[in-house]
Amino acid sequence: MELIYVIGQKSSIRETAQMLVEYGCLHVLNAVKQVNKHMALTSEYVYSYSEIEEEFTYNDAFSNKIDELTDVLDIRKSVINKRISINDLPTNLEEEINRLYNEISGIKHIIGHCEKDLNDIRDLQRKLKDIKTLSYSLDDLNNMHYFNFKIGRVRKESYLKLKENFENIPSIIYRVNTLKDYIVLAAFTPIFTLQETETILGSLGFVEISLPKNVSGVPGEVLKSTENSVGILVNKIEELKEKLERLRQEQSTFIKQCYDLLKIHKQQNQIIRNAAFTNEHFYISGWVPERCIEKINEGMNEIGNTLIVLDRTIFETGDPPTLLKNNPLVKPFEFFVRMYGLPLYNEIDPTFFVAVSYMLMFGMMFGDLGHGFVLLLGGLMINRLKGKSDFGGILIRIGTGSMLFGVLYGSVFGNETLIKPIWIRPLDNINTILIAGIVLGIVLATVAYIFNLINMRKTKNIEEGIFGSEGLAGFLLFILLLATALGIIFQGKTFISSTLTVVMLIVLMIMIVLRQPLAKLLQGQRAVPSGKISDYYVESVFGLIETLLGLFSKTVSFVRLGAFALNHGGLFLAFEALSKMTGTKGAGIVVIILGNIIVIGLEGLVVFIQGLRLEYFELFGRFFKGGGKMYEPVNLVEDKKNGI
Amino acid sequence: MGKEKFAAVNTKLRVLQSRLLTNDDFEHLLHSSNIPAIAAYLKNDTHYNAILGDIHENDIHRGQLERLIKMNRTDEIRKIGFYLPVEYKKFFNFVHIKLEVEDLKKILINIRNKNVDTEKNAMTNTGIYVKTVQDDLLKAKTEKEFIKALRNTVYYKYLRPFEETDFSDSKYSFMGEMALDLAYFEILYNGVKKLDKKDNLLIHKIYGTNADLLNIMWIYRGLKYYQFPREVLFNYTIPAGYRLEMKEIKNFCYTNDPEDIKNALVKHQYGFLLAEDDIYMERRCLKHMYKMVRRLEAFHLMDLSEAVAFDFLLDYEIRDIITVIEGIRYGSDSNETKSFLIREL
Repeated sequence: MELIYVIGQKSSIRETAQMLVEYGCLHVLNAVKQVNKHMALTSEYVYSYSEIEEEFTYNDAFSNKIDELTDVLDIRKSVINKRISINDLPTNLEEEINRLYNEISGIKHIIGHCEKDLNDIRDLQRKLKDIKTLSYSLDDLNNMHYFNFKIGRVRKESYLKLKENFENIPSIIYRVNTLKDYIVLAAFTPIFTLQETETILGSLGFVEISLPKNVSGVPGEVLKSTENSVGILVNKIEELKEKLERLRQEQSTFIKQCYDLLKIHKQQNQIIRNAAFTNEHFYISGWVPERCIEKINEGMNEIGNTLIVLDRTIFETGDPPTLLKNNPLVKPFEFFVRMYGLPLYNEIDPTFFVAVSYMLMFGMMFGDLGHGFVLLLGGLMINRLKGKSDFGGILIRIGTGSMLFGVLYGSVFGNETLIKPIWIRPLDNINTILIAGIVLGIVLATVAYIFNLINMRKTKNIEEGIFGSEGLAGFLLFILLLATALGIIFQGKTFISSTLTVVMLIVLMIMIVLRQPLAKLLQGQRAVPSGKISDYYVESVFGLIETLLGLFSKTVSFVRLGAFALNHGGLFLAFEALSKMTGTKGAGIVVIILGNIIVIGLEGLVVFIQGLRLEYFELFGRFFKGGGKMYEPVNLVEDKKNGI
Repeated sequence: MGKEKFAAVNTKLRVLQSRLLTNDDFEHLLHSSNIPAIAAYLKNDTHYNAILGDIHENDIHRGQLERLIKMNRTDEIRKIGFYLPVEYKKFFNFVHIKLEVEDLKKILINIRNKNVDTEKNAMTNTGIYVKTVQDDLLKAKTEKEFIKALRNTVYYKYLRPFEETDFSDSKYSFMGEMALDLAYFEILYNGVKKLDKKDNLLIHKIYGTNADLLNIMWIYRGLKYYQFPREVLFNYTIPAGYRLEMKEIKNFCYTNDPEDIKNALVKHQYGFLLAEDDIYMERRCLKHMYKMVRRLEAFHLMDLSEAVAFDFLLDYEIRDIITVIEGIRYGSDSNETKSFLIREL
């Protein structure tokens, strides 16, 4: 990864940005900050994007219009044409788009109106249906001089009261229609008793059916004519929708081009916004992988009047961003690495280690041919349904690991009689399996130490690398203690003479405590720790105690690998017993199936987490510092869902 | 099927009935010196211990106490509902409406008295129709807003005619309350129609008597004090009374002298209602209903009547407790308060 500066004439900034976006290698940095740090230009000559004149015309309003057009016309947006340039499009681009936009908005607007009118007519039709038995023209009825005409509804109970007291109501009331929940009435009231009648009708809960003023004629006929209007409107809406469709077919290419162009501009702007400008030139700055430099050089030569400057003092300017590149077989495990943190640029990528170690650990704890197979299937299904994902990939791999261990343990869906174990049955060899876990742990820990040594070497960290508790001294301490323990267990005494052992132990421990002064000594400085001396030694000694305890606990921690293997078998034994207790064969099978589901779900989850814990605390903790920045180049990535 | 379908509910009712307050309880309450004493007694010695379990007798506010006691009624009714067969459960929902309507009437009164305090007026019994619009109802400052809030409920069609009315004349408030009562009865009767004929008769008797008495009070007051147009008066009467048929009700509405109604009522055994001072009409009505329901309960007919009777009895018990509380609040003498009770001690 190299830190580069791209410099050129202000007029070619867009072209340059386009080229860089196309190659998709540049992880952009804010050039103004970089330039201030390194170049010989004084800041009064350097402007940032916001301080220069706005030369670029595309703005939010325009972008919104195009977005709307693509939505209304249902244009597929996902695949961006990278080669589009402003020259492919008509020169009066903005005008054209505005025209189209207005046309299409206009059509949509009219469709909206028509649909509303249609609703209104349907409303009217409902009301007219209520009164269609009325055989007089509404005009005539509404325009009487001496009588008021009303039409409305009452509850059935109210109608009974009305009938009972009819002779006392100063109005002529007809029943027009009988419906399920109410009765439709027409009331002819002399004007001089109108108020009284209205009060009485109100007390009956009479609700007038309000017809629009322009409705005239006999209700039944009006209803028929509305059918006509409905027909006309429906046709009109159809027509307009067809027109939209035609426009869509004609213009979708053009609109898509505009859309693509905008998206590309957006990406270009990411670069341009972070650039620095002087009166004549622009400066772009960022990280690129080494392999891209030549490509970029070629591209720049084509543009002409541009320059690349490589800045090799990267370790002073900060860390390059990290990109994880791994073999597809182990790539899904990047998920675990990223969850913990991104490695720094010059740290070892632990993904391969994670893949192998996690598969071994998970397999050991969850070893079963059948269960592993289920996980494998699960992973495949997730990948099929949700598209390739890290989690699906992980499931596939640990499923395979489980299956392998299943064969080793001779366990198929919990049943230990179907196949013979190639290695051992955990429940029959409890001590062996527990110790096997610890042994695996020791092997993995060793690898972790080695990784740390390599990392320390890369960063030339003498203090931690040689004398640190995870460095050479710590590693030797670990091995020594291990050897001593083994000697005592198997032989009753240490492999090498006990005095020598003790001496070496003490020497190593002193080295760890004195690591800072010793490191300084080796580097030709005074052998005195920085900062307060007493603080340093107190901290150091306690650190040593912690390290010693840690060595013990971190090693024993791996016994859980064996423990969960036993757990797995044991849980299943319980289900077997339960199934026998049910008495019938059928119920027994149901219990077994239930048991398998529970074990896969519950235990699978627990083992997943335990494995991860071992990975992070006991292994990563020894060598992985993390804190890297992710490499995010500006490019045109095709997103299946939304374009960029 | 007969009585078996009510076996469960009647067993439950036995228990609930046995817990109703006795005359002794009321003597005790009448002689309590203050609200905390009443609250303490109710909490510790009666079936109100459940709903009053968390209160601090000495801190509780009178209004809060009343509210809790009223809320108890919803709980009890709901419990009874669990034991009823399905079609009767639905009927019992309609019983809930009574409680809902009472709350609505209270809100209307509060709006009229410009006493709109959402916390104090919180509805104690939200039934099935008003739950969703409760907030709007409590926020209403005018009658118009109140009616508007009821727009999507079953009560709207009864109040719609009043939406543009100027409520400054008190008679319209009265009409509004009558409209709500009418709503309650019409909905109830629509529900009743779907029941068994025999149950139908029984309910008809109880609610019908209630309807009769309410109608009489409505017509009498409407004529004597408010001078409502007679047609309007008639239109708001409650249908399906027990002893008074529509024709007779109509005649009452068109009578020239309200006092004539008194004589006509005697042959229906309702003569007591208008016999003395008008202001005690309501009390007489409640006492009559109470006696009727007590009798029904005593017969133990082992059918729906027991459940219906219990609902009424609980209602009256609560009213009586509130009367006692109000009595203490206004510093009445215990004998005076006693005379306002529905039950006879």
